[in-house]
Amino acid sequence: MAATQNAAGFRRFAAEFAERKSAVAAFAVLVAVILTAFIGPYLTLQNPYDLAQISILDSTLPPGSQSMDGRIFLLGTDDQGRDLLSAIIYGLRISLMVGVVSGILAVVVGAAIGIISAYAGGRIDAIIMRIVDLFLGFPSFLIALICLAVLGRGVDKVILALVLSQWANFARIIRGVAIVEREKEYMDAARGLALPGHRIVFGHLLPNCMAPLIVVATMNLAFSITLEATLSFLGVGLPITEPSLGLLIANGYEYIITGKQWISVYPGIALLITVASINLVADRLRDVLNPRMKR
Amino acid sequence: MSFVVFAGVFAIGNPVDSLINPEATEQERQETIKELGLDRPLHEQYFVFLRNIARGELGTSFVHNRPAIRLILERLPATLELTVAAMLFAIVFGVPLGLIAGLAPDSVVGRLILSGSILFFSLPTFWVGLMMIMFFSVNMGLFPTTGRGETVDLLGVPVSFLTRDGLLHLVMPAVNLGLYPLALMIRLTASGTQETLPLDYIRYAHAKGLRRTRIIGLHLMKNIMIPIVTVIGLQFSVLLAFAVVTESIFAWPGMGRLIIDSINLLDRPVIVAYLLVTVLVFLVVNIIVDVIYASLDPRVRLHRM
Repeated sequence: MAATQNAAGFRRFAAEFAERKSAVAAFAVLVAVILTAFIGPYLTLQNPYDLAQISILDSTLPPGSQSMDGRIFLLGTDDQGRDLLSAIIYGLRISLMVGVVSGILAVVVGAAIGIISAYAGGRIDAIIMRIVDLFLGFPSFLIALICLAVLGRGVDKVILALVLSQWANFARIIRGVAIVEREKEYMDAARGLALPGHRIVFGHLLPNCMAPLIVVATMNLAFSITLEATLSFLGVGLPITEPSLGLLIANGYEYIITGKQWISVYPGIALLITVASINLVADRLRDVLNPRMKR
Repeated sequence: MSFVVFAGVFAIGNPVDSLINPEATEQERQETIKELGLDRPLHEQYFVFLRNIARGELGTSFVHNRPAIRLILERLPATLELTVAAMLFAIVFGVPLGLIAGLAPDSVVGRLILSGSILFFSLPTFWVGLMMIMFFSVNMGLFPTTGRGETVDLLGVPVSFLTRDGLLHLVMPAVNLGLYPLALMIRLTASGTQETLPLDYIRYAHAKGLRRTRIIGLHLMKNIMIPIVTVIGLQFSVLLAFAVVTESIFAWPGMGRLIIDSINLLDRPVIVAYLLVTVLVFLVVNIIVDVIYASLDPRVRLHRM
């Protein structure tokens, strides 16, 4: 495909996407969130996990208070005397990292299995789809919970649990699209050229299944992040050494009753902004790319 | 499947470390290990486990020192009550709201409902639970924060919803758990209504001069009920799993809280028992949904004959 053609296609796509203002706003917010996470350490008041930079004397200060040495805690501090805003930015990095990595892995694994299943057809297809059905028969939260019960805590284990709980969804969707695409003429042409199987599948079939894949992948990103936060909140997800937003919220749990709600409220709002902006963007993507799929 | 879980749970750690008094002598330690059957090799433990399942025993909880299956079954009613209450909340509010939004998607109310449902999708359940405790319990003092409240026995099973106190305790957890299916119900009903309205048979009903309420209440509803019932069934399993989260926040004494505690304490028999019971409940729910499905959709019914 020529580059100009691609650029024109992209411009048309962008123009269509921009027709809804809320989607554009959500996209802007999302970019800001990602940027914040990237350059986070340069923005924050302190490294909240460097013990030399925090003081227990500053613990559970309400938003806007001054620290012992005169700095201002915009969103208050937590029970260890950490600046909550700094902790949120650090937490956001971890939440996004885990969400994105597991999301991409789940898409890659699921798409590969789904497309191979569709292309191979017959008995292989039937076997793979039985396994997919088995996974889809359980709520993804339960699959993740079981995985973590079996594996224990840790970043790699949470990512594995998230991938295991979500790949089947992608495999199912991609297979559905690929089975329709397989019968089209360009596939006959590719087969007629006697191209090797892997080139037919990944060079011709896969690019034509991309549109729905992008939509579900985006939607799923929001779900991954929420799922990780939930698991970490319950204390079965990320370890204390990798404090994601979910863990921060859990930290403030006991302080809610005593009226020091900010420790849980602000990390939650950060999580909500992230997830909501992803969802709005995904919603618009679905309308624009319009693959016939149900959630 | 059962072996994978069993071996995996076996591999994560030695429950003895968290069970035995650190000051116990080596001899006491060995005795406890032997008593729990943890000194045998993995495959032997697994066969003991299988044999016990065949006899309806799932082993004894290491922590509570009682049969694991009893522990789970004692807490099952509380979880089921919470799940059913959440589902009812979602249906009772979701279907009418979705209908309103579907009939007038461009009106202010319709758009408000639809964008509200996107928001509910994005809200992390556990955080909403915390916020509910903050607003309704701590700030306003409307609802109690934790526990099940007063219960009465209904057919020998303790339930909360028949006492005033129990009902008050049930409101927040049920709403919290029900928010996600509520959003789903709204979107499903709305899109179903929008798709069905322009169909010929609805126009024909209009042409026949039928009243609008009758067309919507009978002709339209009958058709959009099919996907709704399917989703209710699917969502029931999801809610049962997510009850773990809600129960943890509101200290609802169901099996979800038990499983989190058991995971943290490496209480293997309870984890396995929880999984088996949950899978059983899933199966029963799926069968019920299939039956309802067949009675609603004549195509399915005729196909089977």
